[in-house]
Amino acid sequence: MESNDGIKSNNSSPEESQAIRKKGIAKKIFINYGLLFVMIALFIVFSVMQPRFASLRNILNLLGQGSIIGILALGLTNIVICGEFDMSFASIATISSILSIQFVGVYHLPVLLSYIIILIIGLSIAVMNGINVVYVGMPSFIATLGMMGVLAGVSKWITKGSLLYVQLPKSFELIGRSKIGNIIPSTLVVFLIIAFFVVIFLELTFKGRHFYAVGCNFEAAKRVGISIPKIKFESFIIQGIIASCAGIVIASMFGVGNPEMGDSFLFPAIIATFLGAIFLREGICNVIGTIFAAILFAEIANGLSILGFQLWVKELAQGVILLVSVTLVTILKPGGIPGVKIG
Amino acid sequence: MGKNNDNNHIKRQPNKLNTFIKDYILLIVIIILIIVFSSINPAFIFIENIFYIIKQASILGFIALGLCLIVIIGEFDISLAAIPNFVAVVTIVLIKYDVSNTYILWTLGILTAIILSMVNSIFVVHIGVPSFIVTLGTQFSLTALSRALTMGGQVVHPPFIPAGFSVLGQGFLFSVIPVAVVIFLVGAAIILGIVEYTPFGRKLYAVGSDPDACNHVGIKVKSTKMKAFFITGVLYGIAGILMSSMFNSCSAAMGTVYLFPGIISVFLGATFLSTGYSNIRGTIVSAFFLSALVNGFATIGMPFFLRSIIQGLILLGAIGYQKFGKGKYEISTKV
Repeated sequence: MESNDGIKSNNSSPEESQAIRKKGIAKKIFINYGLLFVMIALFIVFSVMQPRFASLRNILNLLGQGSIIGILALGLTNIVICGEFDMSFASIATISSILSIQFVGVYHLPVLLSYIIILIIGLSIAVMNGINVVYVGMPSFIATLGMMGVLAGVSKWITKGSLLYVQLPKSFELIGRSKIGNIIPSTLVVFLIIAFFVVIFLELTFKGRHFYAVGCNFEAAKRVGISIPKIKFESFIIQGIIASCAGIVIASMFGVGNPEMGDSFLFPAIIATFLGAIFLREGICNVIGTIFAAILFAEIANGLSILGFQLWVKELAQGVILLVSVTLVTILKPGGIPGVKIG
Repeated sequence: MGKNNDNNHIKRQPNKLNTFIKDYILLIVIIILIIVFSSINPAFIFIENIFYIIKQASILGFIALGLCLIVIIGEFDISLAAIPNFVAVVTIVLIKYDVSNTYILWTLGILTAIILSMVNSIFVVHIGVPSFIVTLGTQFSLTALSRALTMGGQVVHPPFIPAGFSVLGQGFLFSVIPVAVVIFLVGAAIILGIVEYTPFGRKLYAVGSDPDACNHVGIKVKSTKMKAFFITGVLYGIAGILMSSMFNSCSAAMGTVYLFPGIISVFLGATFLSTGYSNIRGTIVSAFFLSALVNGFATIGMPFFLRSIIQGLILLGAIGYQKFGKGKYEISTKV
């Protein structure tokens, strides 16, 4: 006799439901930790093909080179978690790097003072972005696109279109080019410090949860009492400070003020952020995912260059990995993944 | 008590002048700019310069129109510059491999763009991946492939120029009108006609504003979107062959000049006629506007870096002007 009390009952046998549950878990692990598998697999492949790859020195070197993209991606992750977008972060980094070289090399200000001024400048740019998006109401993509154009032009203005190449004191190289204990790159240290703070803030504090809440369902967040404009504004501020830090590191690493520098970091950082969304949260942007995605990119770049491939192979690999992984997650996850607000 | 109720229902009518300014602010700014530029340097409004402006605007125009179609259906395409760039690279590289029939080159070029755009559309429409991320991936991959084909990104000159190859980009009709201008005006008119004046065009807007309602009304969302991507592919292809024809060479970076102006054109165009959504007329006007700006700056001798600043400020100003005072937390489209 059928028990028909209106509740749908799954009439499969205990073995079948076990099997279904196992398949569900396997799928979940595949989606959520797939990036980790790819990273480990690539590591094995690269080490086999070129044993030099697996040396501690090379690993630390690789991480140090990828740190700039990692820092920028961390900043962007803040904003994407809140449900907005930011195209101007690379230009904030560019102008910070140019200004730091200008202050220290041309105006001969003390290094620490310059850094503080630059952080304040990055903060003010972020405040302008925040006002545009939150209080004027412009869609964040367009507002930050405009800001990016303005900053790019200002950067070219300061450097008069060419590179800024001046004598810099030795202390300037501390953040970008030195190695702690002769082996750990300073850029990696900066990246780890920033990552530490961002992870603690976003994952372990109430404010951080509010960021996620606003991004996932701002209607519900509003009703619970979270002040959405304040949260979004704060995310822009955090992003601005982090982007300025990245700019300082860039200047220290390269020693030259290059107004086109930001463009080469813009798309890799964006891709790293979205690739990171695949990891751990099935399509929702998260910090740990971004960190792993940035590390994966550094791994690909370093591995391919050690194996002697040209530059474009790395970029093709990054683009293809993004496409493949996002497609896989979209197919496997019921409901797909959230996109970017263009508005 | 009755009097209070009556007052509650009377809305203040917006000032007619205000509405007019808001609608046509873009055209007004263009006219002001033309006056300013030509008073500083009369060469600006010589007919040759005007044609030159439109010729420069033609590539940007086709790219912006392509993106506009995608934005109208509610998606986004950040590979708007990478696809034409790749088409230009392919066209020039094919000459190196002894393909010397210009018509074959042009056809292959447009075909390449159509295929790439349809690849985008398969990911976006059938698999359902957010369009921003898909086109980000294709853009990055295509740039890498362009670099691969041009041996690291240098400017590549073909060993010879096939007969009639440079006609599109450098030829003149009746010795005065650049061919590129004619192609752009004809193409823009066709797209304007299709999108704004046919039922298919209305379907495009419908799919973009509310796919759910479309399902209920019987408009096939998926096939409409794919058709839009197809047309965009054709437009990107034309832009690409115009690029290769205009410069008789290619490089992996020639497209970057059109990336942000293209996006700006589409979003700036949304402010035209106060529509609030991207439309074809606004995109065409904005593409002209941005090109005229660049040309005007060069004509009056303004430094080049100001161009970026002014473009950004205009975008911020235009959108800000429209948005100021309106609601802040509007639900916007996720791509």
